[in-house]
Amino acid sequence: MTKSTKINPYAVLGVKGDATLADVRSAYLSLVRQYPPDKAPERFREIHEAYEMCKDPIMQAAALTGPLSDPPPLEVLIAKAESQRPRFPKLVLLALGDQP
Amino acid sequence: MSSKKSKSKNRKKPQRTRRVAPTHAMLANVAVADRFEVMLKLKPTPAKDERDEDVAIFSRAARERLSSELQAEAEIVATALEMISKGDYPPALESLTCIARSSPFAQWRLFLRGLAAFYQCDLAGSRANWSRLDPTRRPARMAAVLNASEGQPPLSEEAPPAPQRQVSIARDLRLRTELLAKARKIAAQVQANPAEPFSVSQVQAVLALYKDLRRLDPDFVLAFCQACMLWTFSHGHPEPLLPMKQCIPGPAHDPGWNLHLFQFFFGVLDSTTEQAAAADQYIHGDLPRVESITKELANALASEIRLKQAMYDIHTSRQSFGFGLFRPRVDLSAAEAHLNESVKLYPNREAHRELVSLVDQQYKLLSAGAPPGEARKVQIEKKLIDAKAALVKNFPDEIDTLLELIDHYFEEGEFARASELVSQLDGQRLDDPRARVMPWKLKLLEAMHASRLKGGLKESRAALDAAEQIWPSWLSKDWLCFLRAAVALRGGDQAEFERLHTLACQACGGESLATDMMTYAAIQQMNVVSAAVKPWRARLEAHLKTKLSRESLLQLGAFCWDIARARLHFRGYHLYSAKFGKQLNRLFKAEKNWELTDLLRRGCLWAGEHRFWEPDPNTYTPPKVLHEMTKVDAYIAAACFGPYNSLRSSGQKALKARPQIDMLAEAAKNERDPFYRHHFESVSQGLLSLALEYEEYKRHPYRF
Repeated sequence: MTKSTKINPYAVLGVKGDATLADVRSAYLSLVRQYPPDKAPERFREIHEAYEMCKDPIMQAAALTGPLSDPPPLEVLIAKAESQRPRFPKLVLLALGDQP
Repeated sequence: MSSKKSKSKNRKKPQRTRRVAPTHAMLANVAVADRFEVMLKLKPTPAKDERDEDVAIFSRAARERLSSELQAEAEIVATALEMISKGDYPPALESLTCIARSSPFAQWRLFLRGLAAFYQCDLAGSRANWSRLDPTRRPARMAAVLNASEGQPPLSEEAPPAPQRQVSIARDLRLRTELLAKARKIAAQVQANPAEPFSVSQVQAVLALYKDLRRLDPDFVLAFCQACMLWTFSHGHPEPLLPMKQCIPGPAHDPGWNLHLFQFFFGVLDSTTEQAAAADQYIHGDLPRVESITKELANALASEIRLKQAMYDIHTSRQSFGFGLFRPRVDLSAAEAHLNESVKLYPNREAHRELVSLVDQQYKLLSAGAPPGEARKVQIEKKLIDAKAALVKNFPDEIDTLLELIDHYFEEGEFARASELVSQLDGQRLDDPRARVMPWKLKLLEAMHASRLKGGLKESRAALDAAEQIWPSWLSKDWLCFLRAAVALRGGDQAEFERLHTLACQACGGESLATDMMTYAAIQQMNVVSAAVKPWRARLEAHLKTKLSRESLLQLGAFCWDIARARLHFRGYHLYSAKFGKQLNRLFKAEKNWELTDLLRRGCLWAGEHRFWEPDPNTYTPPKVLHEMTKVDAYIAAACFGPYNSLRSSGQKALKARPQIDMLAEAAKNERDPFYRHHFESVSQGLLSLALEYEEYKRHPYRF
């Protein structure tokens, strides 16, 4: 029995199966802050093992080639865009500094 | 002259006007024209008296007028601005650290820091940087416009005024009204009927959004259009995919959407051709061009895809209709080729395992009907050994395969290769007791091998002595005396054989079916002449013709369980153990009131190991008489439910045995015997995986 068949590392880290390595790392760091090794050694070990597994290329490849995940709700994307600032094209931005 | 002068003035005037016109003319018309198109075409225009340091950010000519040091700094600022426009904030800000506070470009450094904060919705951060800007410089004017577009108070008392037209443009670009309205229209249609495939007009709307408005907010438009692509994948109709696939780039690891297309077809019946086309296009066309992933991950992706193609073929072959002669012959050579490619691309554990399993099935099928030594059988056996050797080379912790490989080398008399693997195993210092006994087994098999050689009896005895020194605590030592007796018989010393045999039988409580089996096994393994083996075989045959008691069968079971768990199967083992095992099974069915003893446990473990109580894997069920015992005794539970781990489609049964799985896991923690501690743990973990997989299957029955 190998590690890979025992646990789902993405579930341990609370990220989607097709999450990017950056998302995985961010989730790992936030969990480690929540469960430091001196206070929750068992949970920390579990989180660390899951992170190491997610870093494994074959685990990443298995996650990326797995079943297609459900599409994201389009309204959520729009709401997110509304709350954010778009980046202006470089020349347009510079033109905003033209003297009137 | 004067008329000439005035003419030349008149001629020059429009030129100057034309040169400065674009920005002002466009700004004047933005309210009436297609605002976004006009806005996106805006270009900066230098003022007459503007400093070269500010103009140098967008004008090559102005940059060339600067000193070489300042030119380099202008280049750094321009690049950082480009990076921030693409969202690469940390590297952009890092690159600006080399600009000194005294540099004329320090103003740009402040502005860009504030800009990065502004884009990340940190208005306090942007304000902290922008309030320190020199009001006479372009960065301060840009900052004032951006700040005013958010409805914020002026950055400082000295801050330059923000022209209303520029503020209006910045606000429009920020609100993206037209873009978001179009996106909302598409989203509303999807929300109204999520299962409805995209119509032609919807596809056109998405493509228009991507083509026409992408520059306005590249991140959002790309994310929105990619999400629309994912919706079309979820609808299960490939038609709208193709036009969208050509225009909208996919995610970083799959820019051409071919991996997604492969995943899409993976869930569709009879789509091997489409899958293969998408997989080949991705592996050979897209992957070599993807720069955002490492070479290692690219190989792992290709390996996983080939594994999935193989699994699809294997799964499809299992689903084919028909029984017996009417079952269609399935060609799994394509699956084998995919698995071979998968393991070549990347050391993929699952692909290695599946390859071993596939070739093992071929070998077993062939072994059932072919005579030994048949060319095809030899060829497949070699393929199987090669596949196993490749697996353990890449994954030395694959203990089961490693043990099988060592056994194969032992059987073939290749002691050098076997002892090499035994040393490798020993070096890993594994907890698995089956691995830890390998040095003992090596000595025992060396003794057996030496007894076959001319003049090897001395070596054989020495190897037996060495084996005795390291005899595992969890295996009975009863058989050792029989082995010594067999060595004596091999040397032709009948009297010594009789003496040792009598002593061995006395140690086992007198002659019985079990002692006859031990003698038969010992003399066969020590290569005693066939004339001397014959009477012992006859005694076993005679036992088969009598009605054996449960005790004698359980004693035999205890010895055979030791042989099975030490994997010391001798030539006649399978023949006789199966015959006696079936007798034991008949007793389990016919008799009641079985007492829970150590002998019963070992007998049951042996019977469970070989599934004597139900040879058909599809209908395997342990005897009812043991049912109650499985609830209280971990040994009987392991004997009865352990076989599910080697059977297909036993997830439901494993799920029902959940209390016993928990009992086995608990027993593994408290068990003192190293073999059973490991056995309980591996059986409980295997059953738990099966149960969880079955639960997952019940949740998503159509997901392959």
